[in-house]
Amino acid sequence: MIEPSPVDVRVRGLTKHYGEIEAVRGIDFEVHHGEIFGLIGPDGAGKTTTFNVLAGILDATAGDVTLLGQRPRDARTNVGYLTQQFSLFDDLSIDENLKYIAGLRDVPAGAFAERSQRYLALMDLAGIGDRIAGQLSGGMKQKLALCCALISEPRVLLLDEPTVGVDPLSRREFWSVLARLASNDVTIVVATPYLDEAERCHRVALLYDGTIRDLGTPVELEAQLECRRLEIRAPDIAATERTLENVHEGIVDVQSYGDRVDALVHDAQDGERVVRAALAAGAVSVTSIDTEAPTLENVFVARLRELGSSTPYTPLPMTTRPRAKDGALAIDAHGLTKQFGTFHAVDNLTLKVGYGEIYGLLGANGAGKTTTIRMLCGLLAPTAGTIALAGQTSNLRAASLRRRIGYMSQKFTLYDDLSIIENLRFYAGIYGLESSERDTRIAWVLETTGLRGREGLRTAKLPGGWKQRVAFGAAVMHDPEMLFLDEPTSGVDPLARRQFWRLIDERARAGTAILVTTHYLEEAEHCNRLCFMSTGRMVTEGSPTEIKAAQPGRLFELTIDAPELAAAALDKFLPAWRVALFGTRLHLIAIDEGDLDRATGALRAAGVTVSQTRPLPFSLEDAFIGTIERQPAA
Amino acid sequence: MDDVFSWRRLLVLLRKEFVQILGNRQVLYILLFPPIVQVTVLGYAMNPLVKHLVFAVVDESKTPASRELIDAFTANGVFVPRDGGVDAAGVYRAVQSGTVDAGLVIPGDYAQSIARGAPGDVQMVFDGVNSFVANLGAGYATSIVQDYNARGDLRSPLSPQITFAYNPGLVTAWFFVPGLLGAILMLTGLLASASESVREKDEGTLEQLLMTPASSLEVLLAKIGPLFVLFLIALLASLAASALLFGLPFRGDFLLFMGISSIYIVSAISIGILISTFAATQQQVVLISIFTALPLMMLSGAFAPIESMPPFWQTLSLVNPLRHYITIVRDILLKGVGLDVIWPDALPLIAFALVAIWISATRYRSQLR
Repeated sequence: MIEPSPVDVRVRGLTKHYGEIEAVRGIDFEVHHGEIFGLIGPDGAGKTTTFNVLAGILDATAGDVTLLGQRPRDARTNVGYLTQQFSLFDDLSIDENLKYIAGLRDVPAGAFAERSQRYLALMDLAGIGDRIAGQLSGGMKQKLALCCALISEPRVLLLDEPTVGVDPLSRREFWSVLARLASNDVTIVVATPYLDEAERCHRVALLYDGTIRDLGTPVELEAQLECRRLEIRAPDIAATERTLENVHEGIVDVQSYGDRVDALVHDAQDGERVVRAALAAGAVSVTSIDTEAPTLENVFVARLRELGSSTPYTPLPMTTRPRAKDGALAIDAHGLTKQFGTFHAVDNLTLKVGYGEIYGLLGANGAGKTTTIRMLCGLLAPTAGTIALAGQTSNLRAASLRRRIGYMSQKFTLYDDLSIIENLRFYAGIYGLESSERDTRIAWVLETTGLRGREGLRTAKLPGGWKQRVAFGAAVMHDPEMLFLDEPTSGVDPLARRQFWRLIDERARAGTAILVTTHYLEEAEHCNRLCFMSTGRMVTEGSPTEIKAAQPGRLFELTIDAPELAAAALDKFLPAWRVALFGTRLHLIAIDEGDLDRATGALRAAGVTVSQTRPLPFSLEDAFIGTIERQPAA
Repeated sequence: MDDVFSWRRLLVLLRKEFVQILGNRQVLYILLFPPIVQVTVLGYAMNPLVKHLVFAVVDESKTPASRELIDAFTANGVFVPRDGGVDAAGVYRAVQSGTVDAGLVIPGDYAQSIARGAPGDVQMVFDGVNSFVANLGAGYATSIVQDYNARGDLRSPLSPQITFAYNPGLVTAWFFVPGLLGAILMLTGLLASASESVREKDEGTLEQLLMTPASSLEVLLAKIGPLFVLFLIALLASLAASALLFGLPFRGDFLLFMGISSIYIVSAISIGILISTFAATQQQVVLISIFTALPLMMLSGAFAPIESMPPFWQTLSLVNPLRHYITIVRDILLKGVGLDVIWPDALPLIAFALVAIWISATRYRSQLR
C-alpha cells in the first residue's frame, strides 16, 4: 500500500475484564480501508473477546474503539459479523436464511434480489437456493453464512475463525472470496488458527495473553525473525529429529513432518553446517537439505516459545504392550462400501495400515472420511466389504478388541458436566486400567495439557482447544494398538497442534497404528502415507513426497500489485486449481514451458505488474487441491 | 463373558451417571419434586369431594324421625339446608332456577313407615346439569338415608360397609393416589430417561462411549441405575405424603410393594430409553414421550375405570404396565393382599419390563444410523 488509505477500524487501549479475569489488556491497532487484517494467537488469547467488542456485543472495560468513525453499537448497520459457530438456521433453505437476515437488516427488496444473486454466484451457491442449510457441507455453510453477513453490504466484515472444520478446498475458495471483497472496498478483520491462511492477510497481529506482541505484514514478521528454514530430508525422520533436538547451539527450532524435518537456523550456511555435523556425529544419514524462507508458523512458534507458552513435552509414562510381528497389518479393509439409500458415502475403498504407521485420510467435507472411520471402528456396519482389525475379522465390537482401540472424534467427546479429573477417571476406568497405572497416566495427561492444579474445573469451562487436548489424552491413556483420530486438531492453536503431533509421532514409534483425518495439510506432512478421498472413493495414495512428486507441472509464485485484476485475467484461460491468490502473491501451476510466459503476458496485458517470479516446491495443499479439482465431477 | 458384561465397567459407568445427575440440581428437582407435589396437589384437586351442597327441605312428616334424618344430612357438612318452599313443586322450581343444588321431600307417612319396619322412602331432586356432582350427591344421600334407616332398625337388609362412603373425601383420595403415583412415575420416568440418554447422543459423547469396551447392556444398566434410585425415593416420599395428608393406609407387605414398584419403574425407564433411540434431539424426545405417556395414562384405569371403556380398549389395556401396576398398588395398599392374589397382574408387568429392557438394549447399539 503506497498511499495510506483511510482508517476504518481504530482500537486504542482496548481492555476487557470478566470479573477477575483480564481477557484483553490494552491493545492498539488500526485497520485500513480495504485491508484484510488477521488476528492470530493461542487458544484463550482474547481473540473472540476482541471481536465481540468490535461487533458491539460486549462493552469494553476501558479503551476507545471506533468503526467507520462511530462507536461499535452505532456502526452495526455497516458491520457484518461471522461467529465461530455456524450462525444459520439449519431448518431453513439457503434463500430463506438470506431473506430472514435481509429482513432483519432492512435490505430493500430490489437490492436484495440483485445482491443475493451476486453473492450466491460469488460463493458458488447459485441455483441451489431451495436446499436446506442443515444439509450443506461445512464449507458451504460457512460460505452461506458469509453471504448472510454480506447481504446488507457492510463496509466492515468481522470474521472469527470462519474456516475451522472447513476443508482445504473450500477454505481456499473462501479466502479467494475474501481477497475479492477486500479489493472491492470491504475492510476485513479475521481470526484464524491456520497460519497458512494468515499468510494471506495484508497485516497480522499476534495476540498473546490479551496483548499484541507482534504486528506487521507476514513478510515483515517473517523477516523480523531473522531466520532461515532448512528442510532436511532423511531416511530416518525420528532419529534426525531426536539428534537435532539435542543440539542447543545454532538451531532455533526443530519440527518433524512425515517425510522431512524442518530446522530453524539464524544463518543458512552456518545452520546447515551445524545440522550436518550433528547428524554425522549421531551417525544419521541425510538425503538433502534445502533452504527456505521461514513461515508464519515459525514466527508464531518462536514468539510463543520466547513468551514461555509452550507446555512441556512429556512422553507417555507407559511400558508399551507388545505389538504384532513385523509385516502384520493393524487395519486391513477391503472393498469397503457404505450406502445411505442411493447415496454412496464410501465406495469400494481398500486401505491397509501397518503397526507404527500414521495413515492420513484427506478429503473435502462430505468425501466420506468420517463414515470410513466409523465403519473401521465398528460403529457403522458396512454395506459391503471386509474389515480386519489386528487380524480379527469377526466380532469387531467385542470388548477385548475395543480395549485395544483408541478413538477421538471431531466433536468434543468429554462430558461437559463432569470435571476434567472425573472425565479422565471415567475413561481410565472404562478401559480397565489398573489403579496404579491409572494415576500415573492421568497425571501424565494433566502434565502434557498443562492443566495440573486445575483438574477440578468443569470441562464446560475449558476453551475449545484445551478440551481437544484433554480428549486426546483420554483417547490414548490406555495405550491402544490402533488409534483413530477424526480431525483431532480442529480449532487447536499451532503450538498445541505441534504437541499433538509429537504425541502422535511418539505413539506411532511405539508401534501404534494411527488413522487420522485432518483439514490441515501442513499436518498431513506427518503422515507416512496419505489417501485423498473424493465422493467416497480413493483418488490418490502415497507418501507426502510421492504425492507431491506426482503432481503435473511446476509451481511458481508471482508477486503482483493488483490481485483482483490478476485473478480476473487468469481465470479466463486457466482452471481454478492452477491459480491461487495469497494476498499479493499468486501461485501458478505451469504444465508446459510456455504456460508461465503466457500467464505473465496476460497479466501485463491486464495492467498487473509482476515484481518477482520464483519457482516453489509443491506443498501438500497444492497437491491436494490439484488432485481433487482434476477429478471429473460426480 | 467379559465381552458382554463386567462389574467393574458397570461400576465406572454408574459412578459417572450418578456424578452427572447429582451434579445437576435442576434435573434433581425435576425428578424428585413433581411426583411428591403432584400426588399431594392432585390428590386434593382431583378429589371429587362434594361439600356444601345447598338443599331445600320439605318436611311433610314433621316428626322427630324426620328431623333426625335432616340432621343426618347436615351433620357432615355435605348438605347445607335452605328453606326451600312449602311443597314438593316449590322444591322443583328451586332446583330448576338453580337457587339450590338439591331438594329433599320427606313424605307425611315417613315416621309411620319406619315404625312399621318398612323402608322409609324419601324423595330427592338433584340439579343434573353437573352430572358428576349430582351423582355423588345422590350417592351420599342414599347412604345417609340407608344408614339412618338402618340405625333405627337392625333388621334392615342394608349392609354397613357403606360406612366408608361417609368419609367421601378420604375414599376418593385413596382411590386416586395409587393411580396418580403410577401415572406420574410413568410420565417422569419416560421423560427423564429419554432426555438423559438422548443428551448423550446430542453432545456426541455417545459415539465415544460406543467405542469403549463398555457393552450396550452395561451402558443401559448404568443409565437406569441413578434414575431408578431417584424414582424409588420419589415414590416413598409421595407415599409418605399421601399417608400424612390423606391417611392412605399401607395394609400389605412393604417388600412386595417395593419389588413390584421397582419392576414398574424399570419398565418406565426402559420405554424412555427406547424412545431416545428413535429421537435425535431433546425436543423430539419430549414430544414422543408425551405422545406415548398420555394414552398409557388414559388407558390405565388411573382416572377412569377400565370397565367403562369399550371392549377393544379394555383388551388393549392389558399390555399397559400402568394398568397392572395400579391394580397391584390398590390391592397391596388398600386390601393388604399378597402375591397369591396379585400374580395375574404381576406376571404381565414383569414380562413387560423384560421385553422393554431387551428391545431398548438391542436398539441402543444400532442407533448410530
